[in-house]
Amino acid sequence: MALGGFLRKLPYFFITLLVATTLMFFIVHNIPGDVTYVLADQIREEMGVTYEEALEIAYVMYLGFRPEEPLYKQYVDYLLNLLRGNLGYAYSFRMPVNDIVIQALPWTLLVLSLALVISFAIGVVLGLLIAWRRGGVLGPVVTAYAAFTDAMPDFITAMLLYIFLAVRLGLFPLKGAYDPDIVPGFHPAFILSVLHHAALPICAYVVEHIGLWALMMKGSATSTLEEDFVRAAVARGLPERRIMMSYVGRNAILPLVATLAIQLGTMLGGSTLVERVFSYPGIGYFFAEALMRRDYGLMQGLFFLIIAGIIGANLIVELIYPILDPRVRRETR
Amino acid sequence: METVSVEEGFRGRLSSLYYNILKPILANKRATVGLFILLGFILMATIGPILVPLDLTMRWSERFKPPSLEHPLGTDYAGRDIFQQIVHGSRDVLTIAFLAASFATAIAVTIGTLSGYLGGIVDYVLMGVTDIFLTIPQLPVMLMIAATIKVSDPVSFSAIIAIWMWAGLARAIRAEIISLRQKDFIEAAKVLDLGTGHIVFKELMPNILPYIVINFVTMMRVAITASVGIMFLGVAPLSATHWGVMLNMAMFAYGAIYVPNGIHYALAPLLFIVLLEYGAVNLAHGLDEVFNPRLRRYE
Amino acid sequence: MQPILKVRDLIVEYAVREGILQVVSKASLDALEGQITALVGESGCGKTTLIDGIMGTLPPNGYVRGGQVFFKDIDLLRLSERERQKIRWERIAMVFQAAQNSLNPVLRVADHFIETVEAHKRGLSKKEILEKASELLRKARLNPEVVLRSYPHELSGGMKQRVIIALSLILDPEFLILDEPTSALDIYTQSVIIDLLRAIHREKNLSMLLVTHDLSIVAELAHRAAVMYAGKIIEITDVRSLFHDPKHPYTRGLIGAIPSLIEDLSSKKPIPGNPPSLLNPPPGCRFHPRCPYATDKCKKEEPPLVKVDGGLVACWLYE
Repeated sequence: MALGGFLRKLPYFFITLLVATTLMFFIVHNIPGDVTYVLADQIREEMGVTYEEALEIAYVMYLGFRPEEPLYKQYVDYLLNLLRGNLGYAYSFRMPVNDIVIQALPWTLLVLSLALVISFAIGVVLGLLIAWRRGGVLGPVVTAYAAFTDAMPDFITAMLLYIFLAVRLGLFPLKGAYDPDIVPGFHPAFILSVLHHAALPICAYVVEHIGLWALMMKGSATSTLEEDFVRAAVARGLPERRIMMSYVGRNAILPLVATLAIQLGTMLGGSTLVERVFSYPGIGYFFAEALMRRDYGLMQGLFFLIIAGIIGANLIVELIYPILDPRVRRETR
Repeated sequence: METVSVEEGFRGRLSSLYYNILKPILANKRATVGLFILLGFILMATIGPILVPLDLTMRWSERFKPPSLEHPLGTDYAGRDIFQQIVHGSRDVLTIAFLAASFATAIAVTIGTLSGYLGGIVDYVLMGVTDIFLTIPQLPVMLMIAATIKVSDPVSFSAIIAIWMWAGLARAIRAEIISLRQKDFIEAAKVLDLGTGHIVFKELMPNILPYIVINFVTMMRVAITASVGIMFLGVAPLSATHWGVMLNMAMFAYGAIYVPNGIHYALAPLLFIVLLEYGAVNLAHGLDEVFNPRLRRYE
Repeated sequence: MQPILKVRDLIVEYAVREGILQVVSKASLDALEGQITALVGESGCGKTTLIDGIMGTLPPNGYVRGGQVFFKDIDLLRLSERERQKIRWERIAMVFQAAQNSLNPVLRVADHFIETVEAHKRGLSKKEILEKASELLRKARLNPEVVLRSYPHELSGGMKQRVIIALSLILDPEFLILDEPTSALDIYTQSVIIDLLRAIHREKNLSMLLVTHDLSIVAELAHRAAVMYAGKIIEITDVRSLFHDPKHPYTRGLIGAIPSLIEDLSSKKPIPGNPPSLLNPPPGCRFHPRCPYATDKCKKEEPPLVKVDGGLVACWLYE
């Protein structure tokens, strides 16, 4: 199948992950000692074990390694711990990071995927239309819009939306992923509440990124329009719609797909601030909490998750791209 | 043979500077707008704090006053003038932005040039490292580093921001160097045996200089976003007047935004941040249009 | 024989940064039915622009300033875009220069055939379309089973060129315009394509306009030739006369410059000078700066096309 690019990139991503975890390891190592002792105290109380045993548990559960061991063994233990799926312990919350992740990840995924899909879809269509109709009102309007939003970072947009639409006008909720009075489940009230709460965070990303996709698509489509095969399609009498979609659209979109993973990385990185602004309980929000509380356990666990997510997104794009662009496939004939 | 006096020579160079560089820049609308905005901010950052004293005494009776002649931007949660804080804060913001962009540019140019010019295994290794820095997103890493290591002064703070900013530019410079390397005048220089140092500094560099300048401006903008973001989360509170810290206070402390009059405490830094970044973005785009003829389209 | 295509005083211009560039200046020619007419000229003389003007495939900054183009009895330039779309490919088909880029990289060859036929609503099923396509491909000495399934990048340059020629015939057009069909191809593939074109012409009595700068192809395929210089048609004649008795000094220079396997090369002379810039063409006859026979009249007045010996020449030598 078309695994060539995927397999080639795999070791590189693996190394990136390794570098990231090494970084995390050193951060974790920098943790002031008293933090572990506090944790040990907690464990001793809750589990009724001796202080030494509590300390032991604290290290294993929290850090994944024992401090008496030589550095390299600590590193290996730490890695093994991660591989086992144990992301560590968030001592300021008194629960394993995994538990927090299970709660928070769905919300971040919801917001980011919807935001990405909406901004990409609308942006690409806009860009294509602008490139197709060389004149028209749409072009300058979108370009000006994009130039302006380009200058505003994600969280600034988020703050403006929050201040005006949530605080001032009260149109949107001030925090949370759903109305706490509603029981979660697959019924309309809950779903509506979820969407209501997710709307502003999604908007913050979309407002920002639509311009980006539109401009990128416009550039790509404009150069595609000059390609010979487009002129040939016109000469063959193909209908305008077909040319716009199958000839210009499908070819112009290819370079953008490659950027999808990078954009997701940016969004994931920015989620820390955006979710904090909206008090939206996703991964970013808890990462921000971890930073503010100096909860290094939670910090490194979530960081790992973020990196893994970005690498995962990159790999998915590597897999999808050959499907879209036949030139990249390695088929045997 | 005609000789030219020193003054005439100097004037000649100045006028060529004017005609070749300043004039086309000023002719481009975006670049001019961006340039003036940035110059305005630089003015604010340099002279501002001298002209506008910072009075941080808390007067609780004056809190959240709306804009007036006395307080052009109103007062914050402790009755302190917001305009003063913005002016003083601009110095912090711009210093960090400038330092961070400088560090990052220095690193990027070094790595990019070495990689592009030397090629081979050096290129392979350096680019591998660069790619890793590119994949890992900037904000979370910087937040983590800032939270772990005690950051006490603007220089180290800028260094932290710079560490994760150079990767993109390094790659781009490498690409430029590679395409320049094969051009005729480099071949000529090599044949004339002018030495690697000379080739790198006198032949290659001037050609990528516009590119470096454009990216410097862009990186200043990224650094502004990054520093504001980090301060916003309260991770490295370097100074009380940095706009990021002001935003932090506005959002999370003393309920500024929830109070009817407190909005300008949040809006003021927001506005100035957006304005500054807008200026930087426009300058960068404008310079790009001036120096990169491919971007100019005629109907 | 009736002219199937009549071009009269066509003017095509481009809007460029430096001003208005008139690439085709009152060009006129006839292509006769059932014949292969060659349009000959150097690179940059305006041949491609001329046929783009005829077909309506000019780039956005190009436009037809004046003149008429008659296909049978229809004035192509007066048609609406929709009507022109109907004529395109159904009656007049075109093979572009460097046709190897004329295929959509994300679509298979079969899709190209299917979408072309469906765009003209012939009511054929996919199977029927592909059968017809296979027939054409086989004639071009291509294996339909493999080629139809392939993507453009999987085919060689010569194969793509043949696919494009087959694609141009799928709707049984009455007239085929080919722009440099053999450039950028190796000699063997060139001969394959020449054979293919000859076979098509013989089988369907297809009228063709063949644009080329390669005189050897003119010799092998064409019946008549129109010579173009600096945006103007300066000679139209049958191919035999073109090679044995060229009338216009430029044509003479062209034929004289052809290297031969047997003659002494030192007797070959290129035409001195360069083609004029079309932004500022010389007054009078555009060839006069390079013409060894130029007179004062040539420098002031433009010669019209006049009949000489069964052909047409635009030169004051033949008043």
